Amino acid sequence: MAPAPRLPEHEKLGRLVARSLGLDATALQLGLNPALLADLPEVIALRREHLNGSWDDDTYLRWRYRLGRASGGFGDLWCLRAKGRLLAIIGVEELRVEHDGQALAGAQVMDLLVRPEAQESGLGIWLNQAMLARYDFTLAVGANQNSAGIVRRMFEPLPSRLTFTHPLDLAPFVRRRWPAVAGLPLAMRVANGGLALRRLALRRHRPRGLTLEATTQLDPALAVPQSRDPASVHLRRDSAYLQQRLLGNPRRPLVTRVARRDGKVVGLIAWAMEVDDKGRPELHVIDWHHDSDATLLGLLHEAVREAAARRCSCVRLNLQDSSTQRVAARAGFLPSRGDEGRLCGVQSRDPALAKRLAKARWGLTDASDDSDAL
Amino acid sequence: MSEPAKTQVSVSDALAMLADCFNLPVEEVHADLERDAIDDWDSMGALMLMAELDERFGIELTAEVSREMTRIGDVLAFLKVHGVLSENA
Repeated sequence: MAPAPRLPEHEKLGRLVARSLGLDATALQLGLNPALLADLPEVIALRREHLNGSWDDDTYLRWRYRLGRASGGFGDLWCLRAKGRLLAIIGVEELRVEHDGQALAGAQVMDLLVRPEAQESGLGIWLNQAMLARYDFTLAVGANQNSAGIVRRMFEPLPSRLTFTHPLDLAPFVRRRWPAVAGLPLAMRVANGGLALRRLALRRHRPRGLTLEATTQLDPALAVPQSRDPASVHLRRDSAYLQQRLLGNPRRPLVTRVARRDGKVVGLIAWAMEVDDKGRPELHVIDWHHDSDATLLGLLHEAVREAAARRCSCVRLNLQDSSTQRVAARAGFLPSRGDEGRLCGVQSRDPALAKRLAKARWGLTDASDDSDAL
Repeated sequence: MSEPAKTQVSVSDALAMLADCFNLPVEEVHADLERDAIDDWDSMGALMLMAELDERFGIELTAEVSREMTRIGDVLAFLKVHGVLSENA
């Protein structure tokens, strides 16, 4: 990581940024406001200039952000306007966190976009600092072209999120490395038979006493299961949030399974069915919550069972902490070769807190990475 | 009233300043070094340059001029135009 730059303090930063844009500092300050529904057409037009895709962005933004409404959305989108024109946007989603006996109010920053004519003004950095001023800490998970430099140089790095894969059909993997072997149907059949036997052997070690059921509606009173590891940062997620985040995503509806032990909910897992570049289905695990390693193991076995039943080529997930990686290895997941991991980091006005949070154990899932919604 | 004399720097001092802004070893920084070859000449690097020019020389670097800079030599030329790069260095 590059050394932390000597960033001017917020007020001076605002003055410099404003001046480079031909504004005065007060106009910059007053130009930053939470987005309302009326801002959507301009926000969508700005996003269309930067993002490629065929999704319904209006529906997505209404799902993701409050936009001044009493209900609907779970994050806040901020608009920076100058001389009547939208120059930039930044999104935040509040995080309630407990670590080391301390409750912290943080936010995840996302969806930072700066209009091309405002780039190199420092506006993205000023927006990032403006959000940081409102919370104990901010978290960045993943980054786009606009924000990668900011995350890399302004945030304390968190452990990388690494991709783990459980192969179910060796053909795509063999085709990449040994194309000649992939052309031999008998060899591939034997290899896949070996994989099936491996799955069978691994399943013999799945935890007993766990029942799994599909759900499309979480009980509003559900206490979301959580491990009690004192070294971990615990993200407080409630049932209403998960209902909206996992089951209400208009761009990528997720399949959710709830795990019970003795009738009590002890875990849940959510995944998406995707296709690889050859059009083959693969299962991508997005989020999970569990009371213990045994429950997580059961949840991962369920994902593998579902993927095999749907003839997926593999199950994929991104894992951050070593204890979860060990459980995934017991369920047959393998780390990807040459994986540098996904960028994530934490920032605080209190450098000691930032360092403490960076050293803590995080278990961020793809539910914390807005790329699953893009 | 005449304008106060601006602080001047030698080319080598200017290169050291740019090395600091862009997080590079000073011996790697020279006038022909292209922006594309400098990882940290991104939005953050541009802001650090803007802040440094303001702090040291009171020079304003606008976003538009910053975007037009494609090599280290462009920054040196900018300093020269603003009368802060010493000719005798």
